[in-house]
Amino acid sequence: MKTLPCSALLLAASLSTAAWAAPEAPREVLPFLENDYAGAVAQAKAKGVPIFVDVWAPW
Amino acid sequence: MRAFVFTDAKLERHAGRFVWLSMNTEETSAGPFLEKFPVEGWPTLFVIDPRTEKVALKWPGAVTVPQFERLLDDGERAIKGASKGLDAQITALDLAYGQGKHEEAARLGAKLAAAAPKDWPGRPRAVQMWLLALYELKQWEPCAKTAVQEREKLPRAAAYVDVVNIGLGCASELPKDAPGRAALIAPLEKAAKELLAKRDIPIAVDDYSGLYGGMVDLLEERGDADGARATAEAWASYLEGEATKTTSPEARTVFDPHRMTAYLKLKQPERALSMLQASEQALPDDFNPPARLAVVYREMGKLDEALAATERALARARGPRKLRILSTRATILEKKGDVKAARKALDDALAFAATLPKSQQYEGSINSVKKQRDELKEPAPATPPAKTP
Repeated sequence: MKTLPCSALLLAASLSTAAWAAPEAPREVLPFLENDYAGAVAQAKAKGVPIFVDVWAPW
Repeated sequence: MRAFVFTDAKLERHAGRFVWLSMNTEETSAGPFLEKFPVEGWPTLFVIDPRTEKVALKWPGAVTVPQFERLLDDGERAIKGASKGLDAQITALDLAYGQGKHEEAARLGAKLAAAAPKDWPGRPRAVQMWLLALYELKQWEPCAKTAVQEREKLPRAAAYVDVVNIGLGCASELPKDAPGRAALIAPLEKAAKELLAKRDIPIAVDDYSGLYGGMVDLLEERGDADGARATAEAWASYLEGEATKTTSPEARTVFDPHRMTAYLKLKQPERALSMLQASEQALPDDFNPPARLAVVYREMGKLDEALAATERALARARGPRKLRILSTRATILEKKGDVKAARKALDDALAFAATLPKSQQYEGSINSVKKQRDELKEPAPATPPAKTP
């Protein structure tokens, strides 16, 4: 089984807060409505398109 | 999905094809939706016909961008209902699975897999649906057998990994002394080892992570401590490498629970500390980093820090996951010898669960808290000092 060299492990283990705080999170490119099923049904009926739903939880 | 798929610029061209809805099941406002459309895991993806409010397609689990695009096409076609031949068969399979008719879905999946040419693009997903239906039906042996047989007919792509993963899961669920269990596990284990050694199929990191986790469990069950440790180390190294490639805290924290599990398997909880502390600092409203820190501190024996972490997590959590945080808090209090406070934490968890909408009162979580409460042990009474004459 493939393993990373020790240096990569050390690098990952010592990730600094600065590295975490860096760039802005990439934005979702699809216009999601948040927790508004009734609104989604109304919009979809008006536009004549289906609804796509992502059911998730902060993990 | 939110951090790695829905951010892909290639998907912009699909924006007008659907109305896009995101349902966070930690919000009580998701209750009515979940009553209508129950889920068994996270994420679960749906395509819903707004005219009938019925499910046209349901997909449990994360997907890659190409898989996602395929789901959009299949969902749209299921609603139009105009397809013929194999397309009509996969639409019927999607409808059956989406509406929880798992026996029908398993039958349709088997039929479609037999009828479709090996190179038909919908075939891998049909095999996945077939296996998922068998999994839902807890038909462990047919599920594992199907995975073993179908694996070889699939192209080496994302569905192949899923089939190995689901098959291994089903085989592992068979009773340990079931005849044929080892023979079913062997080819799937070999395939999983080969997949993890090469990791050449582009799939989500958490799918490879799931495969590593399944392998560690399997090796532990077999009593192969050295093999389990080596696999867990490879798992942790892989995830650490992937985490360094991410460009935002949101993307990086996706790996936190996987990394934490690998470190706990290695009995090295301290390796998770800097990662989780950084996550908590970067995402101060998220209950997950302090909830995970509580587990890590508990495993390190730092019980006061663990309790403080549960307090921070509880202050940020609103939904069903509060039960798990309170359950962790109870284990910490029990370790400190404060059984009364541990019992109160579990009572608080059950009282909180009762306030949630019915669809968010997850039976498994509630039963687990009740069991934990029943099993709380009173500390042994202190032995009175021997009387001196």
